[in-house]
Amino acid sequence: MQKKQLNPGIMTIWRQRAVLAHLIFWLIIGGLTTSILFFHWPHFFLLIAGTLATLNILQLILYVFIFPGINYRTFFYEIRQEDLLIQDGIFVITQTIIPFTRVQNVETEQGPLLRKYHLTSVSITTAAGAHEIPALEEQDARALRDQISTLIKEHPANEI
Amino acid sequence: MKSESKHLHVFAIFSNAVSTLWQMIVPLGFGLAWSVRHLDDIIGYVLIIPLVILVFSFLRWLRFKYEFVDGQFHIRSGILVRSDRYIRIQRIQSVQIKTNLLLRLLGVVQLKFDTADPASKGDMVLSALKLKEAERIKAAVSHEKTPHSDFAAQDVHMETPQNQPGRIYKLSGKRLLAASLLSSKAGVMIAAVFGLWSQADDFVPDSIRGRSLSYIEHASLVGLIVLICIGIFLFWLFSLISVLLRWGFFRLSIDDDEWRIHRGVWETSDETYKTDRVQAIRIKEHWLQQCFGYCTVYADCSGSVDSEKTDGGSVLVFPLLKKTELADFLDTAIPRFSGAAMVRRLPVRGTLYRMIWPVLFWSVSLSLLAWFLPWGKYVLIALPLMLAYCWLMYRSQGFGLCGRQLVVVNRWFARTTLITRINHIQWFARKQSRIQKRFRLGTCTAAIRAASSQTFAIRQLDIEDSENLFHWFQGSRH
Repeated sequence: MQKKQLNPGIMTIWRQRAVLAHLIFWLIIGGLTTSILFFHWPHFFLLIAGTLATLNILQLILYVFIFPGINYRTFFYEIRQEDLLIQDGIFVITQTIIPFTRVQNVETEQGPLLRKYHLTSVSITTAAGAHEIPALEEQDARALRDQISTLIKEHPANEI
Repeated sequence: MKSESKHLHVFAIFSNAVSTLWQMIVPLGFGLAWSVRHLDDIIGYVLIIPLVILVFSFLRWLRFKYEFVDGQFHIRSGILVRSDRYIRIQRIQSVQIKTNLLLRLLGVVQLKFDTADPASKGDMVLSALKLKEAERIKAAVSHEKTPHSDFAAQDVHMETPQNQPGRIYKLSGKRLLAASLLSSKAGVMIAAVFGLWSQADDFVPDSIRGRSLSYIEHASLVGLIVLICIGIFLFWLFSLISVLLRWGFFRLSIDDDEWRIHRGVWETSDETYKTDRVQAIRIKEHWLQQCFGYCTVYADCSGSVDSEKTDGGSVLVFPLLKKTELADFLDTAIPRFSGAAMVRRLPVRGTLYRMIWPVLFWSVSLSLLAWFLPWGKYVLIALPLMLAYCWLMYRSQGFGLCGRQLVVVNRWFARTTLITRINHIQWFARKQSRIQKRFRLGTCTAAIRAASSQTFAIRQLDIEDSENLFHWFQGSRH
């Protein structure tokens, strides 16, 4: 089977998630600053708040403008005869092979953001950790899940 | 075969809620309620809580029952939320019998089963049993297990008649002494003594002056150092003795597909492991052991293994073995992991690339130390030593590939050789960044299923080797 990419909607979702995290961090930084000003905490705490704010802005730039595009371009998955190949990464590109005989369960998950775009994330669990395909269209995800579970049945996990 | 999807009974909501609440309320609530009258004197509170715990322990003991029901082990437990567990005996992976000094006086042992589930769910502990009863259960389990696998066992016997069952390895007294000498923290102790000695004149007098411990103040510096040395020596002796007690009477008996490991002087433990459960063999050489050509053999097993073990979930197969005996030992103990492949070293440019981080980290942090601390300039002496150690550490890594076997050599403080097979690897990944690509380097990671999931990495190997490993995993898996 050929290489398949994620649904492009995932870039928007990644950006939205990053913005949400960004806002939460602003709340924390704001809380810290007010408590420094109103409760007479030592003033060098402001330095810490400033550092956090800078990091926060950096996070926004990286995770909204730079990383989603790169990650979308590098990510692909490929279902082959006996195994699943996933490529992922931003700076370090990782290619992972998961043989179907080692898959223990396949789990689909959909949060509110994904649901709005009719997308689903699929995670494939082996005895040593899970791997995630972050976004697929709903019917694709179901098809993948069913395909993997039939393939598991065809190759019964006799090798422990 | 599709069946209708169903909800649990509505009562599930309450039973879950109640069991959660119960766990919170019982220890706190009862203690509080009954001790309200005695709140002014804390003794009432102190007395009531153990009483509550005792009563509940009694109820739990009353409810806890076990039995054999046609091929299954049935455990009933729980006071308010009652639970019945049926465990198919074939699924029981290992049986452990343990005692300690207190239990021994009463002639009582602790029995533990492992199944392949993760540690929290997969363990059954029968916390106190008569020794005879424990032996009976153990026998029943192994008896129940054999008839089903009769055919397979016969085949194995036909193929390998030279595999004589009942081979026993014992740790001799001399070896035991050597093992505890080599494995106790002697090196660390020596380093600590030197470290303290070199810094004693800097901070000891200052920190002690002004305190009321006048007898220390009057003692001379030499006296102090002697005291510290004695303390460290005692500590070392203590760790030596604890190793002696832990590994005393170590005996490994190998049946055709089972290991029985017995060990301990005061706290004895008898463990039975099925060898088909072993996912990887780990051979550890501490630098002191390496000097004398010894090594320790561990096994990484799937499923749950005692989490209280200090060996990080691995099963200690044999504490001390000459490296020359190793091949023979593996041949007898677990033939499918024997015949270790040639280990190839990683390319020098990879080591150079890996050195970038430690060089940056240590030079920056040590420079900062040297800048801010008055005696900091001496710290800089450590820099070349540290970097040399890093270099040696990275250089001693390597990997080997032989048929279906993968060998990875790693070193942190101890040199660890990990032997695994392709059918035990759960997933395999290769990683590469742009810079690595330019230097034609790559990193490979494999994960096996151990007590906890365990990944091991071969960092900065030649890109062709990484390619080969990747294809090896795709190609020759079945």
